[in-house]
Amino acid sequence: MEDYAVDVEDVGKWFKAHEVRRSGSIVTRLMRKTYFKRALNDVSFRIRPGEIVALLGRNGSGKSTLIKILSGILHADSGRVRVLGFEPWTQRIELAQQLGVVLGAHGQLFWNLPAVDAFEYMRGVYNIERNEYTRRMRYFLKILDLEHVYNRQVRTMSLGEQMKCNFMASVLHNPKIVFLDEPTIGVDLPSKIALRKTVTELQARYKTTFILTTHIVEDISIAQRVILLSKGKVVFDDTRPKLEAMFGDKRHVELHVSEPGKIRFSRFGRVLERDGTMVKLEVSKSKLKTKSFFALLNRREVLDYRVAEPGLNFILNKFYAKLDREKR
Amino acid sequence: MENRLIRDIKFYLLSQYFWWRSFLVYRGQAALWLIDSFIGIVYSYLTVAVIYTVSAGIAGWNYYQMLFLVSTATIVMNALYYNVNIGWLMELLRRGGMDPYLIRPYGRISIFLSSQEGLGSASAILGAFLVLLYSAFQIGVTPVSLLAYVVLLVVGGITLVLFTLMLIMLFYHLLRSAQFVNRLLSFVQKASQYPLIVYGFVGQLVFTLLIPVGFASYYPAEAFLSGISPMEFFEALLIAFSISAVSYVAFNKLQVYYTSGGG
Amino acid sequence: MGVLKRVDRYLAVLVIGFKQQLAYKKDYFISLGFRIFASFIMIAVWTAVYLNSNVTSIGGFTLPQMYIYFFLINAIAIVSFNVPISENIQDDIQNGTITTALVKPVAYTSQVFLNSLGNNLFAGLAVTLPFIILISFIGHFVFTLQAVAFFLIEMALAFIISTFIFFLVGTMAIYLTNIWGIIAVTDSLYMLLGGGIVPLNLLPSWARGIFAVLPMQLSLYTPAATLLGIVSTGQIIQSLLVGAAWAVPLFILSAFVWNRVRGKITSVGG
Repeated sequence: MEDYAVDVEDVGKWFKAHEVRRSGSIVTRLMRKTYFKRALNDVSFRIRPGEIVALLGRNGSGKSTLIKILSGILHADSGRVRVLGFEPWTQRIELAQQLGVVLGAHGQLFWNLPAVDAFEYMRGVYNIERNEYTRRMRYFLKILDLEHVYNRQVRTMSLGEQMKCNFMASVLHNPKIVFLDEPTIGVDLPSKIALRKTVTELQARYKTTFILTTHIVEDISIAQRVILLSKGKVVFDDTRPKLEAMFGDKRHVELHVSEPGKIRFSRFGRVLERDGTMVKLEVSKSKLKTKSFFALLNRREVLDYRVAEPGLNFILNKFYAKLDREKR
Repeated sequence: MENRLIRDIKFYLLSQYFWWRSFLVYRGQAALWLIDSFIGIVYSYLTVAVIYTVSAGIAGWNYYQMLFLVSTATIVMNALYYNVNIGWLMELLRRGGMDPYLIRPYGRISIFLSSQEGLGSASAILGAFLVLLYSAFQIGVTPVSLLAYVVLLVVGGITLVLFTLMLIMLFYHLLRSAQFVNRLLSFVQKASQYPLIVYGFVGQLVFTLLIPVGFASYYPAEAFLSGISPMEFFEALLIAFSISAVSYVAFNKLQVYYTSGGG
Repeated sequence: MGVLKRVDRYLAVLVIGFKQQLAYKKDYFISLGFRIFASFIMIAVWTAVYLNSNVTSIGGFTLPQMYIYFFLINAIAIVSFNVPISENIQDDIQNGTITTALVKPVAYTSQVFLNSLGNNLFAGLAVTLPFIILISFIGHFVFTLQAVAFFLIEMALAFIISTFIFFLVGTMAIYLTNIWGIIAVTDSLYMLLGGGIVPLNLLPSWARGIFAVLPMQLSLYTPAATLLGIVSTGQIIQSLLVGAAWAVPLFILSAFVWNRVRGKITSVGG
């Protein structure tokens, strides 16, 4: 029997929401309509120790809700959840010692104090042995490039610095599994890169399991596996390369044309974008190799061109569009 | 693993240390809060002083006895506010601010009690304590009365804290608003400054069984001032424990309704 | 800009204030309920005091009069302390909504004033008035027309003064961010100095002297005493003059502070 780091089966979660009416008589306006929103709908998946999984989805797809259920913060209405063998809601405390959750930019930090105080606090909270604490602190300060930052007051830090410090505070106790909820929102590029690098290293060194929720596509480059949530349901659960290969028979061709009006581009593929002299086409791989396409590229009006695989953003949007179509 | 209660207490104390450090970073603001809180208690004493200037007093209690009661009530309510900052907790619950705290390996109660600043009440506790000492000195202390007082005070205080936490979860679930709880406690604070008997039998019931403030202020004070039979002492403890137990269970049961900023 | 248009706008703010009371019905009745309960506390306490002292009157007040006094005080307090002006200003400053309020065609200070006035008018008509009428029936006493006239003037003046004071307290939020403590102390002081704990006429003469020169009494004690008929016209005129004497410097101070504060808000960029 394999021991899974995360074992989720048929998990569902409802939220009660209120709708405030803005028209009608005073009485009806004072009464609220209550309706139920299904945040998670029969979600099932299993994650092995040491995996890095990206949990993707648009806003409102249920990603954060799922993470919170896995952490023991929220109570699942139905289904079975096991994280490191523990049931998160009833065994929250036992799980907590081996769990790290990075929520927001400064969840574990004290706003008025330097970040190092938060680390000291965490040392006490998780009972980290002194030497181990010093070792890990040195390690993280180096790899996250926080050596000149960690002694500063949190409120004076940039969002990226705060995020890195928060991350550090959340994993200082060497948890076996770490959840990151939208870790790179609003964060500068160097910090994003540092975070991604740290995650990869931790997984390599300690076989730490990671789940990161995000709707930023670059974040998933470090993940080997992608789970895509849409309206509370799992619509994709496979390796990242497989996701990237979807709609993989298409290529994006960006052309720079001196007289765009002269050429009928729709003959070759779907026009995705037009911007002055730039035209972006979606062309099937097979079409690329045809004589007519070759002729297009050789026309004197075509000044420059570039062929690329469709970006993950594009793939995702197509995926969502397909889902929306299927719904109707 | 250590005893869970000991762990939770250690966590609470550790958190206090860091919240105080955070609080004292801005000395000016901190001083203002502390002074503010200190002055706030003067109001209660002034009220009693005025009443005793124009009359012979309340329900047979002399001035120092009243001071003792007012001090006890003030200490208890401020100790409650120190640990349970109602508005702030409700805010945290509403916008999912409890999440980073809930993932820590400690019991929910100690997480709630360790999740905030609002340390200004400490000076009110200190100020009231000084007046308490003064009035106690005027009245005279015996070991028995002191022991009964301290035990009832601590047990009552804990009961009140658990009760309030339960109320907060209840009103979070029902209304997402702290307004009612705030006003209720403000009302209870005013009422607890005076001997419960002035409110008649019904009033006494309300402030004992409905809102257990009586256990935290009136009964300890009475035990100190006019003595209490062992029977009554254990009765009070029993009832207080029962209310604590019910509050504790209800608080935990209500946790399933936490929605952390969603829904 | 046509005068009528201006009046229209200001009227709109007033009406909104009025309507706000309707919208926040639940909050309203909760605070109302607690105010009534709070008056019961004082009544219970004073009953115990009278029983304990074994007297029928203290400082000229019989126990029934004491009851009526405290019910009146609380009915009046519903209007006097209706809108948490200081808290609202603090919220506006902390949430940054003050910058949007500043660009409205009605001056922020006027907004605060009129909004509060609207709220208070509603509270006065919907709650205080019926309450007072009820008390007069139960307490078997009548108000003279003259008393009512003076009552209204006192309430108006008290409104102006207290609005200035709470406005000033609220603006401190710009310098101190969190002013909950100051607000709480101000509220308590107002209650105490206004006669919400002890009818001011019961105080020893040296204390009465101090209270007489402070404006807070106009918010609670003076109106209640006027209706009860226990103050002479001379005393009423005196209180009104004291109030007016406070209103002028408070107005100047408020204008001055507001100018500085507004400068600070706009310079910080909200």
